[in-house]
Amino acid sequence: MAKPNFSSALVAAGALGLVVWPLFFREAPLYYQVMGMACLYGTLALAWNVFALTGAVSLGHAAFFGLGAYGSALLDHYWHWSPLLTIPLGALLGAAYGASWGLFFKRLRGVYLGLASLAALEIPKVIADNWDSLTYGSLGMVGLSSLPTLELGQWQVTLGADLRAQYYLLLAVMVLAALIHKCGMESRWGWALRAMRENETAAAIIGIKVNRSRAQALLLSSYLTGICGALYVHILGLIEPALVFNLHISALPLVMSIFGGRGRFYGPVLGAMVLYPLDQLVFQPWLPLGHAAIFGLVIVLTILFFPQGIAAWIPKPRKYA
Amino acid sequence: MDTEAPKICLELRQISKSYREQQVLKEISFTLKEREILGIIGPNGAGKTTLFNIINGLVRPNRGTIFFQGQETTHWSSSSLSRMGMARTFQVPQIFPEMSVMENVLMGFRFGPEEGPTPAEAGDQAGELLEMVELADKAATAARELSLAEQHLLEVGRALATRPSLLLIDEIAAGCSPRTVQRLAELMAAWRNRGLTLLITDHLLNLTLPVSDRLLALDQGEIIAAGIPREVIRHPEVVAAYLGTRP
Amino acid sequence: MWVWVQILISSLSLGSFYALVALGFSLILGITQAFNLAHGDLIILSGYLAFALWKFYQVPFFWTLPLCLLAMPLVLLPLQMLLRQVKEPYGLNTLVVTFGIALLLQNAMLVVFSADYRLIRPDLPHYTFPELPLTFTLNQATLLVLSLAATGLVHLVLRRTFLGKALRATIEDREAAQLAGINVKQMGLVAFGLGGLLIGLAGPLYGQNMYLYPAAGTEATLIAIVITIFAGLGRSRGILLGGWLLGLAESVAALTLGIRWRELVSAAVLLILLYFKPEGISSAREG
Repeated sequence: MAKPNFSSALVAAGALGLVVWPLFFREAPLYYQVMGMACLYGTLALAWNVFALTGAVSLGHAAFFGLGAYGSALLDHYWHWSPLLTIPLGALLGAAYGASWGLFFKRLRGVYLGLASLAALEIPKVIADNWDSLTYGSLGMVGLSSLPTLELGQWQVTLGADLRAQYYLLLAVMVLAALIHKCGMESRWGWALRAMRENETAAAIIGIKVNRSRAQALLLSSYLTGICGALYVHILGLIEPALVFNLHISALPLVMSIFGGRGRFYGPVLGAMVLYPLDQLVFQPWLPLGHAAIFGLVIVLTILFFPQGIAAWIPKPRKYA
Repeated sequence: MDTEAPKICLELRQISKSYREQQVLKEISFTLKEREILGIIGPNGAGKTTLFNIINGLVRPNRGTIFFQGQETTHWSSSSLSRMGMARTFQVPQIFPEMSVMENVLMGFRFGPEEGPTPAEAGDQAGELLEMVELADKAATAARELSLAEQHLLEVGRALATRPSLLLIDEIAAGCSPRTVQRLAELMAAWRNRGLTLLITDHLLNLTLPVSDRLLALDQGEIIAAGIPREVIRHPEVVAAYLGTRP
Repeated sequence: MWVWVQILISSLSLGSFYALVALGFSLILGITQAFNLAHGDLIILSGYLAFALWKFYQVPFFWTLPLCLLAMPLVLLPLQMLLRQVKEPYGLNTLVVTFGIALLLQNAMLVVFSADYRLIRPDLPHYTFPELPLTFTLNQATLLVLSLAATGLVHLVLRRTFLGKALRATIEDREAAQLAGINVKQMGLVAFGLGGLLIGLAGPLYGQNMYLYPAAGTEATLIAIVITIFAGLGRSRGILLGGWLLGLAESVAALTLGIRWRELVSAAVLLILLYFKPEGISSAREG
């Protein structure tokens, strides 16, 4: 075969690069922080794409992000559990909301699903904003535990304070998410999702359980998004409704996934790794207030000129010929 | 001689459907035996596609019951019916546009009644199927690039890949050359001999007539004639329906 | 009991304004099938324009109305040309593209005007009815009169003019309209132009009655969508009714649950509507 593994070679090279670059930048806390967050957004983009595989374009994923964040923050604030517990448990709140979407949005498709997701973002946002006795309302909460210190043999890894360690943690989470995404896409279930996306009637006619598969994708997607939210607030140490139930948080994974390419398992990662550092290191210094506009511009250009995303430019052998 | 009566594959009892005030189907009842080829004919607008949609679970009837393989399936979804062995093609072919011809057929193998073989395992069978519908040389082409007739054939191929016991074929002859129609007729007879039951509909008669064991003539939502093809097409009501002279 | 009359008065003026907001969206969607998620942000843009004219150039408020009215189509027409380039699936792709444009606009306005809440205060008088505990501000009166006038005008254009007939035909069935000889591309231009006029008018009115801030557009878009799904495409009377009902629902919510829950009303109504009408507007078309 002519170019059998060009794409796999590229992926391997990219992964390697992400692991070893800190060796060349020993004292660069800004870079660690930016790349760490890029990994978090990469995970977020992957999580969003899991639902997008069914053909749905969700504009309201910030709801799961915020619910995961609040779930974790509340467990931390009231019961002082370790983040190792609050993060996976808090994310369940996001997943629960995702399950409810599966129920209520069962008959919605396309544009109307997108609109419903946008409206559905408002509900937890307003509740978090107003339930003062539980969430302290719009003031939010501060003083959340930072990520714990792990003891690995002789080494102490202070994930809370050591930005480089934090980067590796977030990288590991992203790699895990990417693997889940890849398995999802290439499994029988993933093909069912692709079938639904291309032609729902045809998918049903060959025996695919369309509603069930869609609901499963949403559940996985909302849980992973919730994990991202929970990680986020423990890294920052604070939470407030406007921070986590933000349209920006809904927009970013969408832009990154579409820009990166939804057809490859590494597409969302590519989008995050290109766009986020670009935004933080190039655009923010230039336009401190309005730099997020770049994402708006990117999505407009992507949909108009290369809707398959940049990953489509990487040649890949066709498997079934 | 076979003393056992052939099993009934599909039975419809008093199926009725109306949209607003318009009654599209009126008390349709018939049985379809295993390994039988039943053709449903009628002018455009007679209700053939609605009938198919009801049998296939895409539309709910207002009244009546349907039995498939002895089970009542009146309100079942098309995906549950597919998993029970009912496959179907559409007047507008419902293919997976971005997937290749081969991938479309492999999807048929992978899903269906129980968890089917993986692409690696089904490769040979898929190849055979594509040969049968004469699409083997286009295996790598994206489905949306096929002509209408080719898409119909692809749909049939994919439907067969799901290992059905009953195949509903809806208006497949559109856009097909006479040679293709001939080939389809041969294929249908071959499939029937291998145990498949077929329910076909077409408002042109060039396919339905030679292939069907029995015909059912539909007009304005009701069955106006039933029996062997030779007699049905000469039935005065049927002639009138096609000429448009029926009140 | 007078509280309820007061609510009715404010619902009427607010509701009429909501109808104005929704009308432009509904026309654009109906005629070009483009889902413009940036609709609300364009209204805010128009509002900021009016604010800038009023604050920095001392333009009297009532003059900002015609100025913004005429300025906004100049923004909408390039948008239409952009959206024409979008490929299938048209609805979903225009949704995402306009989502991006909304993001762009919100950030642009953030840079130019900062995140501070702005309000245009033309110092118009209150009117109180003697013996009755009711107040009626001139603000509300302006809102009511202008919104109704604009809605009424659009209704007349749609129903009484030849152009209106062509527009309605395009909304009803685009292909059939094309076959009948209607130039649907031109109708698209008219839709965006008309939508631009309505957006232009809505902007200053918004800025006079509600706080302008960069992220305010999302709520306005949501309102436009809710009312459009309720009423159907290009149905001005249904849109007016929808506007009033929404205004009423919000006022009642503000009264019973508290003003902070008001934001939830349009979102909740949208979700309820979509639950019963999953095809959104197509079911409105048939029913």
